[in-house]
Amino acid sequence: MSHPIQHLEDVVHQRFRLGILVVAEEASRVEFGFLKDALGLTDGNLSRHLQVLEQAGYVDIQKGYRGRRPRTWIRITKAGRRALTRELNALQELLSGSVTR
Amino acid sequence: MLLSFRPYGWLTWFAGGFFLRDPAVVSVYWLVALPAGYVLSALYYRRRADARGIGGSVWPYALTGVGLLGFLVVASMVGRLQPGDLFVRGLTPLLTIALGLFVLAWVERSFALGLFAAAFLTLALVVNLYDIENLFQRVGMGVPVPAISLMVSGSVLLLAGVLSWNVSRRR
Repeated sequence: MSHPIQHLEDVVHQRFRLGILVVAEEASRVEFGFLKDALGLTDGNLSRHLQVLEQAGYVDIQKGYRGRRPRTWIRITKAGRRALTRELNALQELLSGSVTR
Repeated sequence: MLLSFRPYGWLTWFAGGFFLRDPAVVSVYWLVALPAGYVLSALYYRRRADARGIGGSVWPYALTGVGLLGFLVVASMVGRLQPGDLFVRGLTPLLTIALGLFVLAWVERSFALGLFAAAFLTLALVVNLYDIENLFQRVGMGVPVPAISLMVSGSVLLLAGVLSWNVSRRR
């Protein structure tokens, strides 16, 4: 039987990226500024984490405007939902201590 | 009881206002008001999401509402809705609104909205099963129009909407 940590994926496990996926999973779409405030990140840091998630195919990023203000909206993809579920299941397995029993 | 007389075709049966003076008018009201209400709700949620920077999908709510409305229409067309306690006051679509609110509560992950949906479903059942104008007459208020049931349930919905808007604006 493989240890649950084998199911933790580095792309998802990083705490800010995990936070991004969790927030995005709860909503149909979330705006860059909301994520920045919610997770306490700078613009640059958040952009970098989003880029990693986008390259993995876990989020979809769309740029637009609200009035004259540019807005960036983030949506979690199906692959992102699956990856998040795998991560949470692996964490649950670790917490339950089923491996050491 | 089974009525064979259908002066307005399926419009008589839809919404269930069989014994009202003009059931077709009641049906047309619901056929216009409900889709308009769902469109306005969807627009409101989209606008709120734009303003807050985060938003859930209201499609399940709107689709449930329109689906249940469609079910009532189809059921009335094929003659499956027969006069009964739930189908005589022209308020049957209130039940679809209440069921739609449960979906909205699930989408919004709102326990408070779930409680309100349960309360509104109870109210919708009461106004469908009982002439609540009797209550007003008991306390000396003459309200001869059956529309008072719709006004009461509509007012409850509006009041809840205003309260919810106020709470979300303060956050």
